[in-house]
Amino acid sequence: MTPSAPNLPPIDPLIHAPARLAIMATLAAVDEADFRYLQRATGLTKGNLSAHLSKLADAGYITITKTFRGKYPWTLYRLTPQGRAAFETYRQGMLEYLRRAGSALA
Amino acid sequence: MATSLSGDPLHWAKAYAHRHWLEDGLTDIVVGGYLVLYGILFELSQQKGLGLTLLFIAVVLILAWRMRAFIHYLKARWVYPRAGYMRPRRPSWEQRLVGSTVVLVVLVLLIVGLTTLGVPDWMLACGLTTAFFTAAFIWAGWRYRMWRYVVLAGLNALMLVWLVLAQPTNCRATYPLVTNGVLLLLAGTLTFVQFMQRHPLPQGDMT
Repeated sequence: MTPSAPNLPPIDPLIHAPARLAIMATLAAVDEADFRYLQRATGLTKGNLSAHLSKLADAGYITITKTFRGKYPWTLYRLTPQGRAAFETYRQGMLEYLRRAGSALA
Repeated sequence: MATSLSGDPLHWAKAYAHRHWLEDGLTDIVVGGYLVLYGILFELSQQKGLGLTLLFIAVVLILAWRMRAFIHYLKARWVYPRAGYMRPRRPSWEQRLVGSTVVLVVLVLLIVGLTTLGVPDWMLACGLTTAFFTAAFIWAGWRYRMWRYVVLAGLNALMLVWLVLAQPTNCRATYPLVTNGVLLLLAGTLTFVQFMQRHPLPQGDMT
């Protein structure tokens, strides 16, 4: 008898990548942040961070607002309601995976 | 950033955001200044009557209301260009209500309990304020892993021991308030100077 597949919650592949997970978690903890804050928090290079931010923006998970502070361009990032919901679903899903793995190993 | 799947990355990100908000020392300077001003105005209002009491209440409330905006203004000038900008998430009304209610209930129970036990008034005012600061700094030091708060908690614990031993019956609640205000001003200034030395202004755009 083959065991049936367990009913596991789906995992969003866009958030599951470590770099994007770091970005999503960082933005979930604040209202909004600029590029320098995200770079310090995630430890990513400028190019890498920029590429991942674009992917998340294309998916509708974050908004990018370009503005000026004095004479310098300044870009602000924040999670959209859709992004916040997707991150919370991902987080709950991973916690469920870990809970089941823990009880299976116990 | 450590995004280990065995831990919750959101907890790490929240702790990082809190540390980022406190790492430059500006919050300590502003809160310290507020406590000193609060202590001075309170003492003056006790001596000079109702007019100054109303002024005291108005100034204290307005400053408390605008404190966050003032810290933000200072950070925009010195911190954000160096270490990046983020706006912390504000707790919901429900969270604030629950938090305030818990603090109020604990405080009332503590005062009623200590009064019933026959603890003198000066000890209630002076000792309870010092105990509050000790607990608050221990919590901040542990929560944000910041040594300056652990040191401040230690100094408050020493003050508490001294209060119990020396029993200064003329001690008022404003004394530990102003003392902690000055301590926060000193700790904040030292932290801010170190922060500015460690984070030179980067060249080029702010993106």
